[in-house]
Amino acid sequence: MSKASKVANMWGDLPEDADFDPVPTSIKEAGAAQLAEGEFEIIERPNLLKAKVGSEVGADMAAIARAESVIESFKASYDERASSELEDIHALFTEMKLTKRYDLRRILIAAHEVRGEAGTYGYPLLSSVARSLCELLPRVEVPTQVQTEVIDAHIKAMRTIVTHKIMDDGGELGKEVVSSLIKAVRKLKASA
Amino acid sequence: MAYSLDQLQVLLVEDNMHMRALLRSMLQAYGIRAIRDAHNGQQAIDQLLNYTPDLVITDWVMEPVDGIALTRYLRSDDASPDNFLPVIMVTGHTQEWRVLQARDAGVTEFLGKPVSAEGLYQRIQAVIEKPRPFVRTVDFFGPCRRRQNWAEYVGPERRKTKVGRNQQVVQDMDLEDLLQSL
Repeated sequence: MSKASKVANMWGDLPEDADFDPVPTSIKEAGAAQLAEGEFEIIERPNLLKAKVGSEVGADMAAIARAESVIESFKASYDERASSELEDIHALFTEMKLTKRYDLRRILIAAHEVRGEAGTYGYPLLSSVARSLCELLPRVEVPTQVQTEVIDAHIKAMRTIVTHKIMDDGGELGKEVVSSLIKAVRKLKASA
Repeated sequence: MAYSLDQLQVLLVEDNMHMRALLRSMLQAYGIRAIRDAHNGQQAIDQLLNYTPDLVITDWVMEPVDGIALTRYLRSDDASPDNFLPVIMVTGHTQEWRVLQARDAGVTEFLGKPVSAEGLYQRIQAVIEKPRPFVRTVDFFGPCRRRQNWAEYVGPERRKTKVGRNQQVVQDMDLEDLLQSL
């Protein structure tokens, strides 16, 4: 039933204005005991961060608004950068196809970055396509003809989205394209 | 009135220079002034040899040392400057098994990309306002992963401890919460 436990709470009854020094920064300093299988230890520390930021509670909405402005300012340069990164991905995969020497991890890393950044900068459709590509690539070493076509379709879709600055969900056509790509990837994953 | 973050020291670990610049600017917009950069986990470890921030914000996939290995280093390595250092992981890897892996490595808070001004702020706020106790077992050391609110749990397996001096309700980082927050 109840497991044996050990507690390392060195500050539980200290008054509000207590001096916490020395504050342990390691398990050993916190008085960790030798544990056996099934045993556990709970270690609590004083909330030093809270003391550092002040006693007030709650989000600073002005700070969040400033950070939103920051994201907006970064969006301005994203179109050009995304376009360049997608051209690089396209050139990389074209070269791999020509030389038959595949290192799809390089494309995966690039697509993963596109996925994360595109969503941040207001390209949800681009992020969805990149995510779908990221689902497929880890499962492929040397792509078959069908896998090559599906990878190409993803790259083409991503380039089209950026070229036409499709910053929403792309409407019915956009949803259909993403849905088709996701279905293709699922089918390939299922058959792998 | 909200609290002030201008006294916080943050180590930002991110290999993508554009994302690093964005996150740094966002942290500055929150009022944080002392921000150090590292381009990967190894650079972070090197810096942590003679520097102890209040908070680490890290990407997952980096070479030669990724964010998970960095978190494990912080939690269990003898050279770690602080085994209890809060770690916020910001990553595009949001699959369920990835979230579990991050949790089991000892990550404090998890933020899936795309990042938002509110999302990152909320994770920092959670680290400050809802610090979870640390739990150590034979094969885990890190922020408490239990689902239920252990402070209020009175069943037979209740851990023999008491609520800390802040008397605050401790919410554990459970998977459902994490996935909903992505």
